[in-house]
Amino acid sequence: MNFLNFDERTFIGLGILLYCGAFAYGLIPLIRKRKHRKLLMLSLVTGGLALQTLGLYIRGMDLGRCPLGNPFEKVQFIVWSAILLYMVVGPAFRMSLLGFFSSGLAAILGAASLLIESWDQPYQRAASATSGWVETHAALAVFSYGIFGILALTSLMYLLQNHGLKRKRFTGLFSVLPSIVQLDQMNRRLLFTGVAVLTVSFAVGGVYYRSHLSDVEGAKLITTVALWLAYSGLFLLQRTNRLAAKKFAFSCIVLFLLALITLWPVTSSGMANPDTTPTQMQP
Amino acid sequence: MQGKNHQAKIFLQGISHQTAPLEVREKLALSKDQIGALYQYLDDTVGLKECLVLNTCNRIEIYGLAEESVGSDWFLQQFDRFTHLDKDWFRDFGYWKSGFDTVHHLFEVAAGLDSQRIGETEIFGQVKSSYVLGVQNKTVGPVLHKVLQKGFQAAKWARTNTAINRGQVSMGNVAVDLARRIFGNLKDSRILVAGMGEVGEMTVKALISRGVKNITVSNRSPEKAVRMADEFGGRAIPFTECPNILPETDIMITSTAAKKWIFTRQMIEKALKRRPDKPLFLIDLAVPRDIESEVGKLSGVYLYNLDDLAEISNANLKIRQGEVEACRKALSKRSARLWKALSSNHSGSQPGDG
Repeated sequence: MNFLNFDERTFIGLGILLYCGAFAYGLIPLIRKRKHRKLLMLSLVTGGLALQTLGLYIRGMDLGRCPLGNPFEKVQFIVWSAILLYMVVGPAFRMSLLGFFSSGLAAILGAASLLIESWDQPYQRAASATSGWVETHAALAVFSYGIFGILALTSLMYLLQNHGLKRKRFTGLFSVLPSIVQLDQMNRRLLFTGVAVLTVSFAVGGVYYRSHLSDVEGAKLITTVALWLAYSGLFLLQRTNRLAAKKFAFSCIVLFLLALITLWPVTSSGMANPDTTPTQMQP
Repeated sequence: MQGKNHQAKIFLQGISHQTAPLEVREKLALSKDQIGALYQYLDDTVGLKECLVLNTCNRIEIYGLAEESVGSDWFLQQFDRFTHLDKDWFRDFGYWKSGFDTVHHLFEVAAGLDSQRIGETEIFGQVKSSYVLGVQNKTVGPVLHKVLQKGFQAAKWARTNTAINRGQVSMGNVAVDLARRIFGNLKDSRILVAGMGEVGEMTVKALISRGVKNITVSNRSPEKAVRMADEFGGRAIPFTECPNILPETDIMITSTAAKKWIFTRQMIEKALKRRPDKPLFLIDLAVPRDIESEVGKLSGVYLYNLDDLAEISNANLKIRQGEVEACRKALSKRSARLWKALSSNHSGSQPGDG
């Protein structure tokens, strides 16, 4: 399916280009120690999100399902979720700088997924992929990755602000970061939301896999359960005040990086499953 | 008024911190009634078409639009019968500007370029208040109205597009800025003040101006603690109670005359255990210091001393000073544009014309 004679990768590419523009637009004033116009930043990110949504929609229509079959699609969906979340969280909590960091994350991950061709190879759909339960499970799981992505960004902002305050740095980036307390509260809320969404995703997936045990993929199960346990453990430690805010923020960044790495076993096991319906997707 | 003549008709007579010492400036501070009387005098006796009086602790400036071209001597002669201002002060310490220079000066004043603390924003509010008072007294007409409106726009532009007001330069505001980087909104922050010096008082006042309400004061002298608590609208506690109240404190300001550390790492660590999820901002303004320097290494504790605040203040001032020339050039372009428009608008028999 094309729209205005452009394929979905073109729209996704244009969206990523706008994210790159937003990141550059936020970076230049920081270097020049000037303020940036929040409205223009928000407009660039919104434009990027709109184009990326259109691209993902076209691919979804071509597939007849949510596009979450290969690393390219999964990364794009994570980026899309993270930006969508920023659009809700950023303006509501007056975290305009989150737009700069979010667009940076979207630009890096999005551009990498576009440039590495092997991430967007045709794949065979697993038989289970036709189930609505599995689709919802996968979409929620990847959306939680988006939440953890934003959590990693706010954690990075926390560590930068903490570093600036401890080392008595007060110009440039340090002067425009949100407060330590605000970032810590944001981290707690995002972690809670991320764990909740991932838990619901597991519950939804469980409904299908309980009656289709043979469809369960070992590597995928181990990595995702390990990730869920890690984030849940972090949540418990933070709730019981057994983890200092700095260590908490650091853990959130490390866990997100690990979460990105787990995408590969999850994806490859899904693609290599012998019990698959040979439906091929041409990117 | 022809464009050429117009230049001589808009003028400014003033005295500021740039030209007069404090002893002179303090004699020039006019009360509200006296400013009202000055407006009436300028309108009725001097017969100015338009005028505006800008009176702050650092300056008194009279902006006027005369029927004819006037000079400083003529203007000062008019003050013979106005008892609240001595014309000799203007003669000895004052400055006179006319035409474009008047407009450009007002732009610089409104943007804080002419302020004692470069880039401060208080002056913007003061110029606005003067404008409102001028409008109430019906002495601000179309010419001054336009000059002031454009001046406000230029000041806002300078604040947004240059670093002229970037960072805080007073020690109290530097501390408040740091507190906001830690806590964000300071409205619910709990302050403990142990001992009191000049900078400490400045800091507490700056915090109060940002909405801080919960203030606890402690001093070796209980009477002084009560007096300070009354002044800040807080409560007084015995000095020995300080360590016990630390867990309920977000910001502690210390400036005692103690010869050694009063707050040790062990003491702060103990307090932190009772408030594990909240940061603690410690401002040590005492010399010698009241807080053990090792405390700064504790997670969630941000320790700043007098030198730290001074360093930030000086660095911010340097940034502002570095922006002055660029800002002046930009304002000059804007004031020149306005001057050109005024000159063409008021040629012939337009308002402001003689």
